[in-house]
Amino acid sequence: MTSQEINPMEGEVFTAENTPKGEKAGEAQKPKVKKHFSLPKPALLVSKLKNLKDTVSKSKFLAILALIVIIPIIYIAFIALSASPDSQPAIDIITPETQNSDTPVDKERELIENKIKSFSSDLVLLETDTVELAFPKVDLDIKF
Amino acid sequence: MHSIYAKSLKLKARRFVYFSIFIIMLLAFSIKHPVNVYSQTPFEKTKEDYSIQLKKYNEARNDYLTKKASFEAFQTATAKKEVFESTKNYLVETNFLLADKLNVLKEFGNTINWQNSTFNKEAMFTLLDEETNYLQNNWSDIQKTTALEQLPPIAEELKIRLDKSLLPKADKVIGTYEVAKTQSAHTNFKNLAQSVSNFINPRATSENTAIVHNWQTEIDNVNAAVNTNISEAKDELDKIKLDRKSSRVNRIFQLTKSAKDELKRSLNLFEEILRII
Repeated sequence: MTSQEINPMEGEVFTAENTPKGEKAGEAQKPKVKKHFSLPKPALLVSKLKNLKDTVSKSKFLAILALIVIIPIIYIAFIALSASPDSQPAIDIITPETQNSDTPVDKERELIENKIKSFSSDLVLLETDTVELAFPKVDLDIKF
Repeated sequence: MHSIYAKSLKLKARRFVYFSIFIIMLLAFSIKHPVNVYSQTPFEKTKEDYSIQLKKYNEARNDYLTKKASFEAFQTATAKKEVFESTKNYLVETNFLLADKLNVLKEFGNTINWQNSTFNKEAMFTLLDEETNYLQNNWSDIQKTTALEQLPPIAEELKIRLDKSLLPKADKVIGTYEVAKTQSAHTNFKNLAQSVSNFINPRATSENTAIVHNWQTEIDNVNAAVNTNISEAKDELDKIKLDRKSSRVNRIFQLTKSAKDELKRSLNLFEEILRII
């Protein structure tokens, strides 16, 4: 593709990209204009605010914003999930629907069943880790 | 014209890819590290530290053996200097390995419910602390060495300490933990048996009285068997001397395993009687 085949503005970009480095170096040697700080004009602020509205509605911006929100949520979710992986509640949570004040026998049975579950988990814990306490055999026959 | 847009799109796509990679890495890091680190119990942490130290120990040992072989083959001053450094490092890593294991033992003690036990946790920790203090002094002695000839006596001293004090004390502590854990489970069993008994006895009918009676007999048998096992395990524990290594701790493990098997059997009995009543 040549510079004649493209529109004038794009042509400028194209020309700028194809310009040799030596020419750019010549531009860099121009004296810099000192910038003075001044309060922004209200009209400029309003136009910037309008632009901000456009920026916010861009899909790219929304995607980044969504990622920023999603990442901490995933992070917190993983923390919460792994906080106590092996722990089991000592007593099952009983929803109000399953509770029936007319049947105290069932409540007592549930309590006993929960105690059995708790005892079962105690027995599981009883089996673990003791083997890992054995001391290593170290070689201390150091002779020269 | 198309090439300009293509370039621009390529740049955007590349930025997007970089950004995605960054996000994925961030997520992977957050999943792999903080979750595992923060959710670790102190006991798990000490186990992980020990595991890392074991790798260091093995590396140091390989290095020591290589340098030792080189020194024995060439007997040069350089080889002697190298073997001194590697042996010193090996002794330090051995010291740290033993200290880490003592920490594992101590943290394991904190996971046990001592309230239902006849043993004292602090007495066990004192035994472990004595050995940790010895290892600290031993490390200090290793650090002071300046010649190869000074290292074998320190290694020999550590070896004697292991056989005559550290390992017997470790056996005592491990045996005590094992019995204390079993005692705790036995107490839970007795409480549960009482609760179940209180629940089923008023509900027993003429049809299932015999079943309830048999169930109670089985529970009593479990209780008696566990009592016997714990009692024998305690006797074995008393026989462990703190100044010489023995295999009595293995017998304690056998006895507590029998007790645990009995307690597991009781679990089926509890579930079965609740299904019947």
